[in-house]
Amino acid sequence: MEENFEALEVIARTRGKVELDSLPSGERLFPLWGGLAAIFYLAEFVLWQWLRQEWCLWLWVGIPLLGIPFMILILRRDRERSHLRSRTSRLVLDYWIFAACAIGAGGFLFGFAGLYEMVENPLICLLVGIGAFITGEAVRFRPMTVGGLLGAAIGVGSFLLQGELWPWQMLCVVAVAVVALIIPGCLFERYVRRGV
Amino acid sequence: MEFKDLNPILHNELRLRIMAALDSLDDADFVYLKELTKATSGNLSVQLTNLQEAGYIKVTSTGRGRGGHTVCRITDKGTNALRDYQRALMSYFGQKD
Repeated sequence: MEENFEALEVIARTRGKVELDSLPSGERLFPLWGGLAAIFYLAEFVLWQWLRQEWCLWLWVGIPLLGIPFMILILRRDRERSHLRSRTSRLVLDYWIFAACAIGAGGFLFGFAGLYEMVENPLICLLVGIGAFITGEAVRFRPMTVGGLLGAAIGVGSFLLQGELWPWQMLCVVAVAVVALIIPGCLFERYVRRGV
Repeated sequence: MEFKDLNPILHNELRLRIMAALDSLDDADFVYLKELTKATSGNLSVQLTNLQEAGYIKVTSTGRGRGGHTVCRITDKGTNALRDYQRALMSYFGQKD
């Protein structure tokens, strides 16, 4: 009976490890994007409070400009593993690609349409929170699931920060970057290094 | 309570790990499976051959020697066998799949 239970354990642990391995460089990419988002949005908030000039609101463009080259470097370094694909990892990767495109396109569209203050930052919080939740569930990593839920909740709450309160939405993005990307990403590293 | 028979091919830790990994992945190469299972090359080769002979996996090799590349993929028969094996295990604990 005990041996049979171990067999079930072996199947579950192997599947969990394989799902982790098929998410290329997750343990480095989450802290990278989270760190960049936290730094840039904190700078955006401080500069906006200080200068009140519209160019401050375009600082976010620096996140992909810096993040994409670093991401390519990390993926190239881990390319031996990056060819692994599972059904779940494909779903997770597709979601993050969609979220990144939506955030980037939204930044420009809402920026030019004058809706940036109303929609963009809460949308970022919501998309990142949902992404972290999906990733956490896919690889059975509780801190990321919880961080994602918290991030999504912050996102919903930040929709309420309108009018004169809207600059505080930027700090909501910083908070989401910390709870949904940086902290789970750093804990993820130790989790990934565990064997089957 | 009636217990189902366990598939002897899958009732081996190394073969079970290989099958569980391939069931989740599109495919996996020899190097990855070796790293995942921490098995020796010789043992892994033998178990892959056993699984291939049972029709549970398909092994494709390109090139020879150090430059060679071996890729494994689970077959429909293998997927069904793993599902049946899990169901049989569950029956020991009175759980439903």
